[in-house]
Amino acid sequence: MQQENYPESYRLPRPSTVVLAIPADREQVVLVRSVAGHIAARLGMSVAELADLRLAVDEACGLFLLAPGFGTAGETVECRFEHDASSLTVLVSAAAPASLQPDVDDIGWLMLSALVDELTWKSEQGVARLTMVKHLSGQGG
Amino acid sequence: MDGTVTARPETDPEESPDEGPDEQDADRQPAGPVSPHAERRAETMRVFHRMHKLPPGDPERERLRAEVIEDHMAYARRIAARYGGHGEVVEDFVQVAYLGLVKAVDNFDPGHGTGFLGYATPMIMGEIKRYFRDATWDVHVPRRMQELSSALRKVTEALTQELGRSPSVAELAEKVRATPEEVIEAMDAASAYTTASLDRPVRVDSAEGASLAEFVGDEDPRFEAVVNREVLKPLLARLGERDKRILMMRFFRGMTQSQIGEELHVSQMQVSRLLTRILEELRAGFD
Repeated sequence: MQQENYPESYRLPRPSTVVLAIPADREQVVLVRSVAGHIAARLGMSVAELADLRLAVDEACGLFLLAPGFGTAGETVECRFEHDASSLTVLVSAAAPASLQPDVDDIGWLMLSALVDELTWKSEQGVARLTMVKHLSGQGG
Repeated sequence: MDGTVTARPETDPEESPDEGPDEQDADRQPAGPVSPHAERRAETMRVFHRMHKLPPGDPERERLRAEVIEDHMAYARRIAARYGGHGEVVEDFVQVAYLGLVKAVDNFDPGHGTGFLGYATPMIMGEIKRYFRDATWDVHVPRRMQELSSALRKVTEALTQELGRSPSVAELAEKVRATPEEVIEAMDAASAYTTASLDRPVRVDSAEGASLAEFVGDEDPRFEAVVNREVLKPLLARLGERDKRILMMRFFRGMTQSQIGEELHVSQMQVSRLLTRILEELRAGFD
């Protein structure tokens, strides 16, 4: 396996991690939804859970992309999917000023709260990170 | 400024009924005006408090109940819209979203300390999800995909002839009145998560051996489930000579229905019907 030869920067933290970076453009969110769907399917999620996850990543990207002023400096939005036996973690992050915060009264955040099991927004050193954890119910996968 | 916002479904950080600027809000929008949401939230809470001071059945209480439901119907519709869907399905989503809203209004306790939307949102979504599960989810989505796949097959053939080239996804999407994403999904659905290697060349002896996927892709989306040739063999043996020939021409020689029709001196429509019947027979044998 020539993976051994990859420079450190190309190496993913864990074999199960998938990282996708998209330009700050709503049209590109379709890629994130699609990847989320395939990952959910591979993890043996039910069709309803899969739909939830697709909706969740859509809303999560929306928190960044719909924020006023976001994307004008050529930012990218990174979506990182990591899973272990019991949960799937989706980390959505982008370079953003600390003033970029989700409106917890808004439909996007409220729906996210209902879609995933854990939801955290953290902003530090110029990077905003949204972490979503979905517990895996089924034992398939 | 660093900031952390955490939320779990059961503990929504919403402002409490005794409104007033909460620190989180102030923290979040240091220089901005008061959130337009905040004023509406406060008004909703006032309506709920008034409602709950009245006995059930009181006409004024009923009026307030109707008012708060009406005020949030647009919000419920927005949630339903996020679930997508088409035609009647959207209308169904909206209806169950309203149902969830009414339940939320009737069960919400304004003294409990959470905001109304934090309470109503998961309830409305839960109602939509229940609707998926009970009525349509298992049936609708695959059926929608099946319908889309079969529509795509027809439209691809028609558009290819009309344009004299292979149509783009956008062109297909417009014709079948779906989004490009759905078109790709429907294409995906025909090949994803099956163990059979669809990319294995059919004719290993030929350099330009087309892969099975090319033949199967635009045909019946469920055909790939039976295309495992090892399993197919005994089933194929049971088919009549002509049926076997049609199947071979279509899937292993990649002929179009019209070409098969010419060879057999029947119309393309008849070939289409024959193929449908043959595939059904195969599937029946497969079950």
